[in-house]
Amino acid sequence: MIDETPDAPAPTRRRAVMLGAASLGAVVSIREIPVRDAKRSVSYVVAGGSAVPASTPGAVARPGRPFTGEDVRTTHAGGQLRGTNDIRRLQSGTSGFTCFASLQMSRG
Amino acid sequence: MPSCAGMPLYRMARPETLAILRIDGFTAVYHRASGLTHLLAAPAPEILAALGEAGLTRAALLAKLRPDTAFGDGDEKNADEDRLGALLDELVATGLVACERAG
Amino acid sequence: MRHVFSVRIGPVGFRIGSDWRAPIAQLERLYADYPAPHAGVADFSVQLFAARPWRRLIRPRVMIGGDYTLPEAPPLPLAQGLLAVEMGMDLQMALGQRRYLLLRAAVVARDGQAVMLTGASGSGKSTLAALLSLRGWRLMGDEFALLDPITGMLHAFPRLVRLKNDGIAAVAAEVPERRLGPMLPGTPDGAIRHLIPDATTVAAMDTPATPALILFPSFGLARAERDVAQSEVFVRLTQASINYPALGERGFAALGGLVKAVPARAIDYPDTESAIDQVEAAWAAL
Repeated sequence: MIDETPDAPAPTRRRAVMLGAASLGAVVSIREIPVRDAKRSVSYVVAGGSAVPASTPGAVARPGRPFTGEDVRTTHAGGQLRGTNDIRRLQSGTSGFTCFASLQMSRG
Repeated sequence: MPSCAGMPLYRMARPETLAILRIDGFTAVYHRASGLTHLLAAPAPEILAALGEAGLTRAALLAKLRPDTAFGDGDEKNADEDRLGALLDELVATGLVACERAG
Repeated sequence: MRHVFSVRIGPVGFRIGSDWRAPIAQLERLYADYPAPHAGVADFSVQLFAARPWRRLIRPRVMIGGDYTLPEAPPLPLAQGLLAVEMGMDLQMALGQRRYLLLRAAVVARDGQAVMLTGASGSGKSTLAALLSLRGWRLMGDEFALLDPITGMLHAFPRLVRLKNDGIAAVAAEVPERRLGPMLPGTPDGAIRHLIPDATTVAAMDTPATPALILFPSFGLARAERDVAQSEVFVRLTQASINYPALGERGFAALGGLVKAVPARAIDYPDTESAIDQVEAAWAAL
């Protein structure tokens, strides 16, 4: 059973938590967006939650517009990401059947 | 996105609603109420820990985080509070943090 | 459903009904050495049916049905009936499987330790898995890895291996004809041909294995390897998972446990020979 709680910062260690880094985003949420696939034609369902502006870095979901498998493939880098910062390197990839969009919830 | 206008106290979701795993530099959180999984990078886990169940205003949270954080100089203070506010808004949107009225 | 075939693949039993004899006859040959569902009761049903009565005979088109359906899915020509069965099975697993966390990965094992080759459909993992199975590895599956959330073990789901295009020739060069299914040209993915898993694989399919290595292979790049951080593995595996949201907290715990316990490497490979070498090297380095 998972029972860890987030620690308070250790008092003996000076943690370099740069609040300025908050502007890069610090939360990646795993959401399921069924993708209309050429072979399987899964029905499109809008992922619930807040609408993310299309210009937001890393944003994938555009409410009201269905994805095609091709959209997802071109939007995501796919494969491996190298030389990118912590959050950005977590945002990639699709599965063949459904797309789990990693939404970077950040404000620039 | 829910608005926290007029509701200046921020509170972490009750611990029993979360399942938490530390995975290298990140904290993975399963939010039972929504069934969603979130990965948090610094400073989000620190914010959650600092908020706890007590409920803090943005300013009080900033003050609590400051001793263990490295900032630029003092005139960055307002910018830091704004950035903290932006991150708090994101955490509120995920449901991991709730905002409420004072008192 | 005039024609019926039942089979168990790993822990999952299927009952396949069909308006046409031909796909059933093919299944009977290709899955000849597989067991029946446990206690004769299938977990999922798949149906191949004609949308209209005349579609059974005139330019026959196969519609896919089952316990779970995709009403908008376009029908396939009867010649590709085997693919319709496969898609039907995929669908039942994707929408109905709750006991195991499903990840899109080929899995091969040696001495009870399993290597996952993570990749989307069409990433080349099936060809790699097939070739590794001809080089001393037990094939556990070429499409789905089944992770048991309670034990953390991987369970085999050794379906017919789905070879595509160049992969067909590469494998056909190393196996007798009787181990291959019919050539299926002109599919949306190109030419497809199935490889029947060997007798050892089928006999061992109820034996789980301990996950020991997670690989993220990428084809078409210069040879390279790198370690993958656990957080990146976690996110990429949620993206590789078919049923992660449906499993809720059990899925979260299962994936977290896997990621924290098992090393992961990304391997870029220019050709299959290099890939096999890299898999063996990554294994030896454990």
